[in-house]
Amino acid sequence: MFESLNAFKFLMVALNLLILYFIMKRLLFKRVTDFMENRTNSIKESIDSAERNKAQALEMKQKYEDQLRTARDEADKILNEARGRGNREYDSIVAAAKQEAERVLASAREEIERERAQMLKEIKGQVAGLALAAASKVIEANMNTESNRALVDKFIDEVGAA
Amino acid sequence: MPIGGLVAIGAGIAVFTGIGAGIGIGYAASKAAEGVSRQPEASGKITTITLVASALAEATAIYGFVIALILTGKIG
Amino acid sequence: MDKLNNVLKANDIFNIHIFGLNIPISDSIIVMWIISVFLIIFAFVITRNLKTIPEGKQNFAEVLVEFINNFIKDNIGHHWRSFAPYLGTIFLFLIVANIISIFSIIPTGEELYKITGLEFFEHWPEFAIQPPTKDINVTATMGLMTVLLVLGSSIRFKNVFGWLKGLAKPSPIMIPFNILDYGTRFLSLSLRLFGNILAAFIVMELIYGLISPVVPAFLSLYFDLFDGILQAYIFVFLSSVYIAEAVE
Repeated sequence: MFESLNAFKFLMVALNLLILYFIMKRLLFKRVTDFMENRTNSIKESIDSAERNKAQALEMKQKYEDQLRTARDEADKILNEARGRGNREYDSIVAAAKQEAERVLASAREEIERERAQMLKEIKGQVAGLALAAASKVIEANMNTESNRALVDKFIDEVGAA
Repeated sequence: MPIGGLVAIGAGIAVFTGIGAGIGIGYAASKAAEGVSRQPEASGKITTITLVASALAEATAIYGFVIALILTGKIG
Repeated sequence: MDKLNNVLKANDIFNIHIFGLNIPISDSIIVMWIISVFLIIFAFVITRNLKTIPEGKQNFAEVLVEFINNFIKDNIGHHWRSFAPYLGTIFLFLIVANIISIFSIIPTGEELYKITGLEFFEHWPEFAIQPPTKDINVTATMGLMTVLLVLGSSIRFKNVFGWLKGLAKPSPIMIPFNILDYGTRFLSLSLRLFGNILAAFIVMELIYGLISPVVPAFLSLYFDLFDGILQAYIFVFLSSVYIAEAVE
């Protein structure tokens, strides 16, 4: 058995195995391992990027929602302000109108009062004149009696009271 | 007694190394059976370990076999 | 007895004369060439046009490479990248080499010429298709290569001083034993493989001589297939254990 040991055979076997090793490494092991690792890396990368995109989208959505909320708040504020201002203006206008109306009313009343007084005075004068004329007419006929005199006074008073 | 006969007897004795291997493998197998009955879910791993251990224990028998081969080569 | 001697004897088919050297080519070397060519074609076929989504033979290639990579990763650790291709090649080679006696019915030489009638096989050498690993030359070379690889990787990953320090590991008294360890590893690796395959081969030859039909087929399943694959696994397992010990 050990007689068959031969250095050349050792060399042949070693050479054969080494050549086989280099070819198999090139053709099978390195290639397939590299291929699988590349694939694993690319899958991991795509999952990572998807995660990143998702996070980005969420962030963006958050931002948009915030913006929307501030915009709505702003609009509410502006609306409230405008409403407040409108109410104030309305109140002031109404107040002014009321005041004006009162003033007009007061002046109109005053005028009426004055006109009435004047008219009363005028009427009193006319009535007095009329009475005097009537009296003089009456007197011409029967103006010496006490009763007639009283009648005239009474008439004047009545007219004046009216 | 011719020398060839003594060599043949020596070759036969060399194969007695198989006893050690047999005991070793038997021990490994019994422990493996124990292990599997205790933890059936680990049977795959235990099988592998048992096979490897048996092959290692077998080495002594193989050495005896090789010695016997060398000796039988000396007879003729 | 003659038959046994025939099995053990190196069956030199022809010689190559190169640089004045006379290199004998035995049938185990021819079978090794055949196995190498077969493995190269096999590797070429299963890795042709790799696609991102694997299908068919590419699945097989990926499972095979991944199995070997994981096996080496489990045993060696993070230096696995340097050793997986070598140990994987040895594994595939040994599997095919150990079970090749299944194909021993394929004729060679004259017979093949007679059956096929092809001109190509007319000067085909006559050799037996037997496991090359039953030749002590082949297994001794493989054991030697593994031990040299262990030595080389130990020096490469720990440099010379680290390696020398590793020799005196538990205590300096152990230096001779640690050096002896390399020799015993070489012997145990090569003789285990050689002895197992040769024993299985001899047993199968005896069985073929005793009972001819049917029964040998079932026994062949154990002696050729199971034992062959188990021995290939154990050779690679032990090599990776030695390497792991050397590089740690």
